[in-house]
Amino acid sequence: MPDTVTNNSTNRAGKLLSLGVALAVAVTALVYTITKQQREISRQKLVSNQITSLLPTGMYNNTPATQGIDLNQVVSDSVTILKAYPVINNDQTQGAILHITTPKGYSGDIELLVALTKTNTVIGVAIVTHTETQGLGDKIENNRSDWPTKSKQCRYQRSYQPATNWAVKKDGGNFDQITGATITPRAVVSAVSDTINWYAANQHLFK
Amino acid sequence: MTANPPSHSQQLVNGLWADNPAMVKLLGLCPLLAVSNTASNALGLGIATLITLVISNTMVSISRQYLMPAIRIPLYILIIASVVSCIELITQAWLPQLHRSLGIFLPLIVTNWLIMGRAEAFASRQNVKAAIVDALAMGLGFLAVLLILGMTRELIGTGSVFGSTGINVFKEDYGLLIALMPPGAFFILAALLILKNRFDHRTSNTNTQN
Repeated sequence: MPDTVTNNSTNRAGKLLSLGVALAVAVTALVYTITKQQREISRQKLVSNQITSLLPTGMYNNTPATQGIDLNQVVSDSVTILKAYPVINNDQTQGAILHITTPKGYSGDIELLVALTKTNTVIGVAIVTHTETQGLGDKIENNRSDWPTKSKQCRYQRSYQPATNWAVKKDGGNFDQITGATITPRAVVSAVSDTINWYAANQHLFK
Repeated sequence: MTANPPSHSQQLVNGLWADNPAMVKLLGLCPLLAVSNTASNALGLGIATLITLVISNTMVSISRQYLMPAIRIPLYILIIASVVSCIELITQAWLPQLHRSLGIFLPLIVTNWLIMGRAEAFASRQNVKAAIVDALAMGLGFLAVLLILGMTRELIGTGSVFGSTGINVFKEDYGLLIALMPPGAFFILAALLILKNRFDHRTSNTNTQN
């Protein structure tokens, strides 16, 4: 009967496909487990390189990268502070680098480092990980466009004022937007803004 | 349905020149044009593609007798996707810089038709050895074009090859920015195609005259 034939071959195809899926998942899971530790090490290294590049030499004489404090503090719906790295010069707290994550990116979380001084001024921002669109949203990365530098020169350098100008120009703020990627810079700017607010209110934690 | 395998040297000539995936078949143009802005990116993606191609061709060829027509495409995708996931995890662990600069194009190797195409057109009907040689030939052909494109674009755009610590030819200020941008990729690929076609044309003319 034709029906049985079809059923048999469908069954066989189904079994083969399930076997294939099981094998593929097993191999990928194995590689995931094997590489887990090394991936974490590489990530830490990247973060500590970025920390060094964010801070001007002479501002600190401790090793911030090794003195991170886990915070995991939800500040707002757009920011969670993951970690804080104190910046200390001769036992005097000079500021901190906050490792934050925001879920407001165009496709997934954006993790960034925000370097702040004790006067609540942002002196640098670096992107740790993101999955924004290649060629559009990824311009927030330091080596991919002049957006971060421009933002830094124009606005981040200023002392923080709790004003509405911490937004992209489209929303009435002071920051350039990126053509073709509205959501990404908006996420970065508002995350940094919320981070400064939080830091200004909680600086005593780092003293 | 096992066709007679071509000789290995013929396979190599096909992959590197006569049937070059990037210059004759124009396969995998999206990563080819997008990631060839610097020589090191091109080299990284080229090698990743080559490795994916070798593993996926091998797997497809090994399992070719179980690949029923109805489910062969999902199975190819499954094989290719797992290989690419593993390569991505490994690069993330041991080559984090490369992982960062390739960004989304590393996982997007899955969608490179070159890999699917070789699985379907070649590996699924040939023995493992022929499939591996085919993957090496096609992968090297792709890598070579990617690298030439990357080196040319970086040279014209920034005056150096393999970054500012690599070979410096002229000052970055005199670079043509367009070479680094997507239009530059099209122009330079077009130039390469013209050169190759001219060369092929000449050779075939000489052959007929003789």
